[in-house]
Amino acid sequence: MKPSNEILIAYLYGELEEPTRKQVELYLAQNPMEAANLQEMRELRENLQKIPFKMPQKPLVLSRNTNHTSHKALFSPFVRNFMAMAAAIALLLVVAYITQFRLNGNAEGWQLSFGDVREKNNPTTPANSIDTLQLVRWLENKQRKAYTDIYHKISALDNKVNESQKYGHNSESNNKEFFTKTEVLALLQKLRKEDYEVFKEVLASSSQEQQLYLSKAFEGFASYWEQKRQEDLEQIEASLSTFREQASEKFKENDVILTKLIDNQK
Amino acid sequence: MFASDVLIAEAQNGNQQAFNKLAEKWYPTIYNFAYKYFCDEDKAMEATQKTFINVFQGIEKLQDSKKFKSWIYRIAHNVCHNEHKKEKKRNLLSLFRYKNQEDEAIDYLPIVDEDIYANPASYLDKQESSELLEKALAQINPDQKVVIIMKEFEGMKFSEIAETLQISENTAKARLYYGLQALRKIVEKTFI
Repeated sequence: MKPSNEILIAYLYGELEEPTRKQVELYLAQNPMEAANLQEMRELRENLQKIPFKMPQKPLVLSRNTNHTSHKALFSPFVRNFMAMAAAIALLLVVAYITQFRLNGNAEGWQLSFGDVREKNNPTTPANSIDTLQLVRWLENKQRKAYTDIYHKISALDNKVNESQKYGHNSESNNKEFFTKTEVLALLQKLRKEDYEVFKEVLASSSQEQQLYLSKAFEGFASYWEQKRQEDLEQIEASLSTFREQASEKFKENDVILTKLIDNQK
Repeated sequence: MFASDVLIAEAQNGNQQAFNKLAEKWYPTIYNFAYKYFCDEDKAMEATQKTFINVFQGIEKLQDSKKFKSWIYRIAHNVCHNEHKKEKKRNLLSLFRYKNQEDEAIDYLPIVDEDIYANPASYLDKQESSELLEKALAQINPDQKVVIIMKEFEGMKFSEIAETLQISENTAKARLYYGLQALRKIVEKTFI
Protein backbone atom coordinates (compact mmCIF):
# COMPACT_ATOMS: atom_id res chain seq x y z
CA MET A 1 0.00 0.00 0.00
CA LYS A 2 1.34 3.38 -1.03
CA PRO A 3 2.15 5.64 1.92
CA SER A 4 0.65 9.13 1.83
CA ASN A 5 2.72 12.14 0.77
CA GLU A 6 2.70 13.35 4.37
CA ILE A 7 4.27 10.07 5.53
CA LEU A 8 6.82 10.16 2.71
CA ILE A 9 7.86 13.71 3.59
CA ALA A 10 8.12 12.79 7.27
CA TYR A 11 10.30 9.85 6.25
CA LEU A 12 12.46 12.17 4.16
CA TYR A 13 13.02 14.39 7.19
CA GLY A 14 13.55 11.42 9.52
CA GLU A 15 10.53 12.20 11.61
CA LEU A 16 8.78 8.82 11.46
CA GLU A 17 8.31 6.30 14.22
CA GLU A 18 10.16 3.00 13.84
CA PRO A 19 7.33 0.73 12.61
CA THR A 20 6.07 3.24 10.03
CA ARG A 21 9.60 3.96 8.86
CA LYS A 22 10.18 0.26 8.20
CA GLN A 23 6.93 0.01 6.26
CA VAL A 24 7.99 2.95 4.08
CA GLU A 25 11.41 1.41 3.49
CA LEU A 26 9.78 -1.86 2.47
CA TYR A 27 7.48 0.04 0.09
CA LEU A 28 10.42 1.95 -1.43
CA ALA A 29 12.36 -1.29 -1.89
CA GLN A 30 9.44 -2.64 -3.90
CA ASN A 31 8.88 0.60 -5.84
CA PRO A 32 12.10 1.87 -7.37
CA MET A 33 10.32 4.75 -9.15
CA GLU A 34 9.07 6.15 -5.86
CA ALA A 35 12.48 5.54 -4.31
CA ALA A 36 14.14 7.48 -7.16
CA ASN A 37 11.66 10.30 -6.70
CA LEU A 38 12.43 10.47 -3.01
CA GLN A 39 16.16 10.31 -3.73
CA GLU A 40 15.84 13.33 -6.04
CA MET A 41 14.01 15.20 -3.32
CA ARG A 42 16.77 14.26 -0.89
CA GLU A 43 19.39 15.65 -3.29
CA LEU A 44 17.36 18.81 -3.68
CA ARG A 45 17.25 19.13 0.10
CA GLU A 46 21.02 18.72 0.25
CA ASN A 47 21.39 21.51 -2.29
CA LEU A 48 19.00 23.69 -0.36
CA GLN A 49 21.11 23.17 2.74
CA LYS A 50 24.07 24.59 0.86
CA ILE A 51 22.36 27.95 0.45
CA PRO A 52 24.17 30.25 2.88
CA PHE A 53 22.51 32.20 5.64
CA LYS A 54 21.86 35.69 4.31
CA MET A 55 23.17 38.34 6.66
CA PRO A 56 21.71 41.85 6.39
CA GLN A 57 24.08 44.40 4.90
CA LYS A 58 22.54 47.38 6.66
CA PRO A 59 21.69 48.00 10.31
CA LEU A 60 18.03 47.80 11.27
CA VAL A 61 16.37 51.20 11.20
CA LEU A 62 12.87 51.38 12.55
CA SER A 63 10.97 54.46 11.47
CA ARG A 64 7.32 55.12 11.05
CA ASN A 65 7.86 57.38 8.05
CA THR A 66 6.23 60.33 9.80
CA ASN A 67 7.66 62.66 7.15
CA HIS A 68 5.32 61.20 4.60
CA THR A 69 2.12 61.77 6.55
CA SER A 70 0.96 64.65 4.39
CA HIS A 71 1.86 62.72 1.27
CA LYS A 72 -0.08 59.70 2.50
CA ALA A 73 -3.06 61.85 3.46
CA LEU A 74 -3.03 63.44 0.05
CA PHE A 75 -3.14 60.06 -1.61
CA SER A 76 -5.27 58.22 0.89
CA PRO A 77 -7.92 55.92 -0.65
CA PHE A 78 -10.69 58.41 0.21
CA VAL A 79 -8.92 61.35 -1.42
CA ARG A 80 -7.97 59.23 -4.41
CA ASN A 81 -11.57 58.07 -4.87
CA PHE A 82 -12.83 61.63 -4.51
CA MET A 83 -10.31 62.90 -7.05
CA ALA A 84 -11.21 60.08 -9.43
CA MET A 85 -14.91 60.92 -9.17
CA ALA A 86 -14.24 64.63 -9.68
CA ALA A 87 -12.09 63.87 -12.70
CA ALA A 88 -14.80 61.59 -14.13
CA ILE A 89 -17.45 64.29 -13.69
CA ALA A 90 -15.19 66.92 -15.27
CA LEU A 91 -14.55 64.57 -18.19
CA LEU A 92 -18.29 64.00 -18.62
CA LEU A 93 -18.93 67.75 -18.63
CA VAL A 94 -16.23 68.29 -21.25
CA VAL A 95 -17.66 65.50 -23.42
CA ALA A 96 -21.17 66.94 -22.98
CA TYR A 97 -19.93 70.38 -24.02
CA ILE A 98 -18.10 69.04 -27.06
CA THR A 99 -21.01 66.90 -28.22
CA GLN A 100 -23.56 69.68 -27.45
CA PHE A 101 -25.45 67.40 -25.16
CA ARG A 102 -28.98 68.59 -24.27
CA LEU A 103 -31.54 67.34 -21.83
CA ASN A 104 -35.08 68.67 -22.41
CA GLY A 105 -38.14 67.94 -20.38
CA ASN A 106 -41.70 68.50 -21.48
CA ALA A 107 -45.15 67.05 -20.99
CA GLU A 108 -44.28 64.05 -23.16
CA GLY A 109 -41.26 63.15 -21.02
CA TRP A 110 -37.48 63.66 -21.14
CA GLN A 111 -35.47 64.03 -24.31
CA LEU A 112 -31.70 63.55 -24.73
CA SER A 113 -30.00 65.02 -27.76
CA PHE A 114 -26.51 65.60 -29.13
CA GLY A 115 -25.37 68.15 -31.71
CA ASP A 116 -27.60 70.69 -33.50
CA VAL A 117 -31.29 70.36 -32.83
CA ARG A 118 -33.37 70.17 -36.04
CA GLU A 119 -36.95 71.30 -35.97
CA LYS A 120 -39.24 68.43 -36.74
CA ASN A 121 -42.68 68.97 -38.25
CA ASN A 122 -44.68 66.02 -37.21
CA PRO A 123 -48.32 65.85 -38.19
CA THR A 124 -50.27 67.04 -35.20
CA THR A 125 -53.82 68.04 -34.51
CA PRO A 126 -54.62 71.57 -35.61
CA ALA A 127 -53.79 74.22 -33.06
CA ASN A 128 -57.30 75.55 -32.89
CA SER A 129 -58.98 72.19 -32.86
CA ILE A 130 -62.50 71.67 -31.52
CA ASP A 131 -62.97 71.14 -27.88
CA THR A 132 -65.01 67.92 -27.86
CA LEU A 133 -66.14 68.47 -24.31
CA GLN A 134 -67.45 71.90 -25.22
CA LEU A 135 -69.40 70.41 -28.11
CA VAL A 136 -70.94 67.74 -25.92
CA ARG A 137 -71.97 70.34 -23.37
CA TRP A 138 -73.54 72.50 -26.06
CA LEU A 139 -75.49 69.52 -27.42
CA GLU A 140 -76.63 68.58 -23.94
CA ASN A 141 -77.85 72.12 -23.27
CA LYS A 142 -79.73 72.18 -26.52
CA GLN A 143 -81.31 68.85 -25.77
CA ARG A 144 -82.18 69.85 -22.21
CA LYS A 145 -83.80 73.07 -23.42
CA ALA A 146 -85.83 71.19 -26.05
CA TYR A 147 -86.96 68.60 -23.52
CA THR A 148 -87.96 71.36 -21.06
CA ASP A 149 -90.06 73.08 -23.70
CA ILE A 150 -91.71 69.83 -24.70
CA TYR A 151 -92.29 68.92 -21.06
CA HIS A 152 -94.00 72.29 -20.39
CA LYS A 153 -96.17 72.04 -23.46
CA ILE A 154 -97.18 68.46 -22.73
CA SER A 155 -97.99 69.41 -19.14
CA ALA A 156 -100.19 72.28 -20.34
CA LEU A 157 -101.92 69.99 -22.83
CA ASP A 158 -102.42 67.35 -20.16
CA ASN A 159 -104.03 69.90 -17.84
CA LYS A 160 -106.37 71.08 -20.53
CA VAL A 161 -107.41 67.53 -21.41
CA ASN A 162 -108.15 66.86 -17.76
CA GLU A 163 -110.24 70.00 -17.51
CA SER A 164 -112.14 68.96 -20.63
CA GLN A 165 -112.94 65.54 -19.20
CA LYS A 166 -113.99 67.10 -15.91
CA TYR A 167 -116.56 69.53 -17.36
CA GLY A 168 -117.67 67.47 -20.35
CA HIS A 169 -118.23 68.59 -23.96
CA ASN A 170 -121.80 69.85 -23.61
CA SER A 171 -121.64 73.54 -23.93
CA GLU A 172 -120.09 75.42 -26.81
CA SER A 173 -118.83 78.13 -24.47
CA ASN A 174 -116.94 75.58 -22.37
CA ASN A 175 -115.40 74.08 -25.46
CA LYS A 176 -113.75 77.40 -26.26
CA GLU A 177 -111.65 77.21 -23.10
CA PHE A 178 -110.17 73.83 -24.06
CA PHE A 179 -108.19 72.57 -27.01
CA THR A 180 -110.07 70.90 -29.77
CA LYS A 181 -108.79 67.74 -31.36
CA THR A 182 -107.54 69.71 -34.33
CA GLU A 183 -105.69 72.08 -32.03
CA VAL A 184 -104.08 69.17 -30.19
CA LEU A 185 -103.00 67.57 -33.44
CA ALA A 186 -101.64 70.90 -34.58
CA LEU A 187 -99.78 71.33 -31.32
CA LEU A 188 -98.26 67.85 -31.59
CA GLN A 189 -97.32 68.57 -35.18
CA LYS A 190 -95.70 71.76 -34.01
CA LEU A 191 -93.79 69.89 -31.32
CA ARG A 192 -92.56 67.34 -33.80
CA LYS A 193 -91.48 70.11 -36.09
CA GLU A 194 -89.62 71.87 -33.29
CA ASP A 195 -87.86 68.61 -32.31
CA TYR A 196 -86.94 68.05 -35.86
CA GLU A 197 -85.57 71.59 -36.13
CA VAL A 198 -83.53 71.21 -32.93
CA PHE A 199 -82.18 67.87 -34.05
CA LYS A 200 -81.36 69.25 -37.46
CA GLU A 201 -79.62 72.22 -35.91
CA VAL A 202 -77.55 69.95 -33.65
CA LEU A 203 -76.58 67.73 -36.53
CA ALA A 204 -75.66 70.68 -38.70
CA SER A 205 -73.57 72.19 -35.95
CA SER A 206 -71.83 68.90 -35.23
CA SER A 207 -71.17 68.30 -38.89
CA GLN A 208 -69.74 71.78 -39.26
CA GLU A 209 -67.41 71.28 -36.29
CA GLN A 210 -66.29 67.91 -37.59
CA GLN A 211 -65.58 69.34 -40.99
CA LEU A 212 -63.53 72.10 -39.41
CA TYR A 213 -61.58 69.58 -37.38
CA LEU A 214 -60.94 67.33 -40.36
CA SER A 215 -59.97 70.26 -42.50
CA LYS A 216 -57.38 71.39 -39.95
CA ALA A 217 -56.07 67.84 -39.53
CA PHE A 218 -55.72 67.42 -43.29
CA GLU A 219 -54.03 70.77 -43.45
CA GLY A 220 -51.44 69.58 -40.88
CA PHE A 221 -50.89 66.30 -42.73
CA ALA A 222 -50.61 68.09 -46.02
CA SER A 223 -47.93 70.46 -44.74
CA TYR A 224 -46.01 67.55 -43.21
CA TRP A 225 -46.12 65.47 -46.39
CA GLU A 226 -45.19 68.51 -48.43
CA GLN A 227 -42.15 69.07 -46.27
CA LYS A 228 -41.21 65.38 -46.47
CA ARG A 229 -41.60 65.52 -50.24
CA GLN A 230 -39.36 68.58 -50.44
CA GLU A 231 -36.71 66.83 -48.33
CA ASP A 232 -36.89 63.70 -50.48
CA LEU A 233 -36.61 65.79 -53.61
CA GLU A 234 -33.57 67.54 -52.20
CA GLN A 235 -31.98 64.19 -51.39
CA ILE A 236 -32.74 62.82 -54.83
CA GLU A 237 -31.36 66.00 -56.38
CA ALA A 238 -28.19 65.67 -54.31
CA SER A 239 -27.81 62.00 -55.26
CA LEU A 240 -28.35 62.76 -58.92
CA SER A 241 -25.82 65.56 -58.74
CA THR A 242 -23.25 63.21 -57.18
CA PHE A 243 -24.03 60.58 -59.77
CA ARG A 244 -23.63 63.12 -62.57
CA GLU A 245 -20.27 64.21 -61.18
CA GLN A 246 -19.09 60.62 -60.86
CA ALA A 247 -20.30 59.79 -64.34
CA SER A 248 -18.56 62.87 -65.70
CA GLU A 249 -15.34 61.79 -63.99
CA LYS A 250 -15.68 58.31 -65.45
CA PHE A 251 -16.29 59.73 -68.92
CA LYS A 252 -13.19 61.86 -68.59
CA GLU A 253 -11.16 58.84 -67.47
CA ASN A 254 -12.51 56.84 -70.39
CA ASP A 255 -11.62 59.65 -72.77
CA VAL A 256 -8.10 59.72 -71.42
CA ILE A 257 -7.76 55.94 -71.75
CA LEU A 258 -9.19 55.99 -75.26
CA THR A 259 -6.88 58.83 -76.24
CA LYS A 260 -3.93 56.88 -74.95
CA LEU A 261 -5.05 53.77 -76.81
CA ILE A 262 -5.51 55.72 -80.04
CA ASP A 263 -2.11 57.31 -79.59
CA ASN A 264 -0.58 53.88 -79.03
CA GLN A 265 -2.30 52.56 -82.17
CA LYS A 266 -0.78 55.41 -84.15
CA MET B 1 15.96 31.14 26.46
CA PHE B 2 15.77 32.74 29.86
CA ALA B 3 17.51 35.85 28.58
CA SER B 4 15.00 36.03 25.74
CA ASP B 5 12.10 35.69 28.13
CA VAL B 6 13.47 38.55 30.23
CA LEU B 7 13.97 40.71 27.17
CA ILE B 8 10.46 40.00 25.99
CA ALA B 9 9.01 40.77 29.40
CA GLU B 10 10.98 44.02 29.59
CA ALA B 11 9.97 45.00 26.08
CA GLN B 12 6.36 44.33 27.00
CA ASN B 13 6.77 46.75 29.88
CA GLY B 14 7.88 49.44 27.48
CA ASN B 15 11.63 49.09 27.95
CA GLN B 16 13.06 50.51 24.71
CA GLN B 17 16.55 49.11 25.30
CA ALA B 18 15.18 45.61 25.87
CA PHE B 19 13.22 45.84 22.65
CA ASN B 20 16.31 47.05 20.77
CA LYS B 21 18.26 44.06 22.05
CA LEU B 22 15.48 41.71 21.12
CA ALA B 23 15.31 43.22 17.65
CA GLU B 24 19.06 43.02 17.31
CA LYS B 25 18.94 39.34 18.20
CA TRP B 26 16.16 38.45 15.78
CA TYR B 27 17.06 40.87 13.00
CA PRO B 28 19.36 38.51 11.00
CA THR B 29 16.94 35.59 11.34
CA ILE B 30 13.94 37.55 10.12
CA TYR B 31 15.99 39.21 7.39
CA ASN B 32 17.21 35.79 6.21
CA PHE B 33 13.62 34.53 6.22
CA ALA B 34 12.41 37.53 4.18
CA TYR B 35 15.35 37.27 1.81
CA LYS B 36 14.63 33.62 1.13
CA TYR B 37 10.99 34.57 0.53
CA PHE B 38 11.68 37.35 -1.99
CA CYS B 39 15.27 36.67 -3.11
CA ASP B 40 15.64 40.45 -3.13
CA GLU B 41 17.65 42.45 -0.61
CA ASP B 42 15.56 45.63 -0.76
CA LYS B 43 12.26 43.81 -0.41
CA ALA B 44 13.70 41.68 2.37
CA MET B 45 14.87 44.80 4.22
CA GLU B 46 11.50 46.51 3.83
CA ALA B 47 9.64 43.42 5.03
CA THR B 48 12.02 43.06 7.99
CA GLN B 49 11.50 46.67 9.04
CA LYS B 50 7.74 46.31 8.80
CA THR B 51 7.90 43.09 10.78
CA PHE B 52 9.76 44.76 13.65
CA ILE B 53 7.41 47.75 13.59
CA ASN B 54 4.50 45.32 13.96
CA VAL B 55 6.37 43.47 16.71
CA PHE B 56 6.96 46.76 18.54
CA GLN B 57 3.31 47.73 18.23
CA GLY B 58 1.96 44.35 19.27
CA ILE B 59 4.39 42.95 21.80
CA GLU B 60 2.23 44.11 24.69
CA LYS B 61 -0.53 41.83 23.48
CA LEU B 62 1.69 38.72 23.44
CA GLN B 63 0.45 36.62 26.34
CA ASP B 64 2.93 33.75 26.38
CA SER B 65 6.57 34.69 25.89
CA LYS B 66 7.36 31.05 25.00
CA LYS B 67 5.39 31.52 21.81
CA PHE B 68 7.46 34.51 20.77
CA LYS B 69 9.26 32.55 18.05
CA SER B 70 6.12 31.34 16.29
CA TRP B 71 4.55 34.77 16.86
CA ILE B 72 7.37 36.73 15.23
CA TYR B 73 7.56 34.27 12.34
CA ARG B 74 3.80 34.62 11.85
CA ILE B 75 4.17 38.39 11.68
CA ALA B 76 7.07 38.08 9.25
CA HIS B 77 5.10 35.65 7.12
CA ASN B 78 2.05 37.94 7.06
CA VAL B 79 4.15 40.95 6.13
CA CYS B 80 5.91 39.02 3.34
CA HIS B 81 2.58 37.64 2.13
CA ASN B 82 1.02 41.12 2.03
CA GLU B 83 4.01 42.59 0.25
CA HIS B 84 3.85 39.77 -2.28
CA LYS B 85 0.14 40.46 -2.88
CA LYS B 86 0.83 44.18 -3.32
CA GLU B 87 3.58 43.38 -5.79
CA LYS B 88 1.28 41.08 -7.73
CA LYS B 89 -1.33 43.83 -7.87
CA ARG B 90 1.25 46.31 -9.12
CA ASN B 91 2.40 43.86 -11.77
CA LEU B 92 -1.16 43.23 -12.82
CA LEU B 93 -1.80 46.95 -13.25
CA SER B 94 1.40 47.53 -15.12
CA LEU B 95 0.88 47.73 -18.86
CA PHE B 96 4.36 46.54 -19.48
CA ARG B 97 4.03 43.20 -17.70
CA TYR B 98 2.72 40.93 -20.35
CA LYS B 99 4.78 37.78 -19.89
CA ASN B 100 3.33 34.84 -18.04
CA GLN B 101 4.86 33.33 -14.96
CA GLU B 102 6.58 30.48 -16.78
CA ASP B 103 8.29 32.86 -19.18
CA GLU B 104 9.41 34.96 -16.26
CA ALA B 105 10.75 31.93 -14.49
CA ILE B 106 12.97 31.17 -17.44
CA ASP B 107 14.01 34.79 -17.99
CA TYR B 108 14.72 35.31 -14.33
CA LEU B 109 17.41 32.69 -14.15
CA PRO B 110 20.81 33.52 -15.65
CA ILE B 111 22.05 31.85 -18.81
CA VAL B 112 24.07 28.79 -17.90
CA ASP B 113 26.90 26.88 -19.55
CA GLU B 114 26.18 24.16 -22.05
CA ASP B 115 27.78 21.40 -19.97
CA ILE B 116 24.82 21.48 -17.59
CA TYR B 117 22.78 19.59 -20.15
CA ALA B 118 25.07 16.61 -19.68
CA ASN B 119 24.67 16.40 -15.94
CA PRO B 120 22.24 18.80 -14.29
CA ALA B 121 22.64 17.30 -10.84
CA SER B 122 26.38 17.80 -10.79
CA TYR B 123 25.98 21.30 -12.10
CA LEU B 124 24.00 22.13 -9.02
CA ASP B 125 27.05 21.30 -6.96
CA LYS B 126 28.85 24.20 -8.45
CA GLN B 127 29.12 27.64 -6.88
CA GLU B 128 26.11 29.10 -8.72
CA SER B 129 23.73 26.39 -7.58
CA SER B 130 22.81 28.18 -4.37
CA GLU B 131 21.94 31.36 -6.16
CA LEU B 132 19.94 29.49 -8.78
CA LEU B 133 18.05 27.56 -6.14
CA GLU B 134 17.29 30.75 -4.22
CA LYS B 135 15.81 32.30 -7.34
CA ALA B 136 13.88 29.14 -8.16
CA LEU B 137 12.55 29.10 -4.61
CA ALA B 138 11.31 32.66 -4.97
CA GLN B 139 9.08 31.54 -7.83
CA ILE B 140 7.07 28.77 -6.24
CA ASN B 141 3.71 29.09 -4.53
CA PRO B 142 4.09 31.35 -1.44
CA ASP B 143 2.27 28.90 0.86
CA GLN B 144 4.60 26.07 -0.13
CA LYS B 145 7.65 28.32 -0.18
CA VAL B 146 7.18 29.52 3.38
CA VAL B 147 7.00 25.94 4.66
CA ILE B 148 10.21 25.03 2.80
CA ILE B 149 11.96 28.08 4.27
CA MET B 150 10.81 27.30 7.79
CA LYS B 151 11.76 23.65 7.51
CA GLU B 152 14.99 23.87 5.55
CA PHE B 153 16.49 27.15 6.68
CA GLU B 154 14.95 27.86 10.05
CA GLY B 155 15.03 24.23 11.17
CA MET B 156 11.53 24.31 12.58
CA LYS B 157 9.61 21.18 13.44
CA PHE B 158 6.36 20.39 11.68
CA SER B 159 4.48 21.17 14.87
CA GLU B 160 6.13 24.60 15.09
CA ILE B 161 5.38 25.33 11.45
CA ALA B 162 1.77 24.29 11.99
CA GLU B 163 1.49 26.55 15.04
CA THR B 164 3.12 29.51 13.28
CA LEU B 165 1.02 29.28 10.16
CA GLN B 166 -2.06 28.14 12.08
CA ILE B 167 -2.53 25.06 9.93
CA SER B 168 -2.49 21.34 10.68
CA GLU B 169 0.74 19.33 10.69
CA ASN B 170 -0.50 17.25 7.77
CA THR B 171 -1.17 20.40 5.75
CA ALA B 172 2.35 21.60 6.50
CA LYS B 173 3.75 18.24 5.38
CA ALA B 174 1.67 18.22 2.21
CA ARG B 175 2.75 21.78 1.37
CA LEU B 176 6.36 20.81 1.90
CA TYR B 177 6.01 17.73 -0.33
CA TYR B 178 4.36 19.62 -3.18
CA GLY B 179 6.67 22.60 -2.68
CA LEU B 180 9.76 20.43 -3.10
CA GLN B 181 8.23 18.78 -6.17
CA ALA B 182 7.46 22.19 -7.68
CA LEU B 183 10.96 23.42 -6.90
CA ARG B 184 12.44 20.34 -8.54
CA LYS B 185 10.33 20.91 -11.64
CA ILE B 186 11.43 24.54 -11.94
CA VAL B 187 15.07 23.51 -11.61
CA GLU B 188 14.65 20.77 -14.22
CA LYS B 189 12.77 23.10 -16.57
CA THR B 190 15.54 25.65 -16.29
CA PHE B 191 18.32 23.24 -17.06
CA ILE B 192 16.76 20.90 -19.62
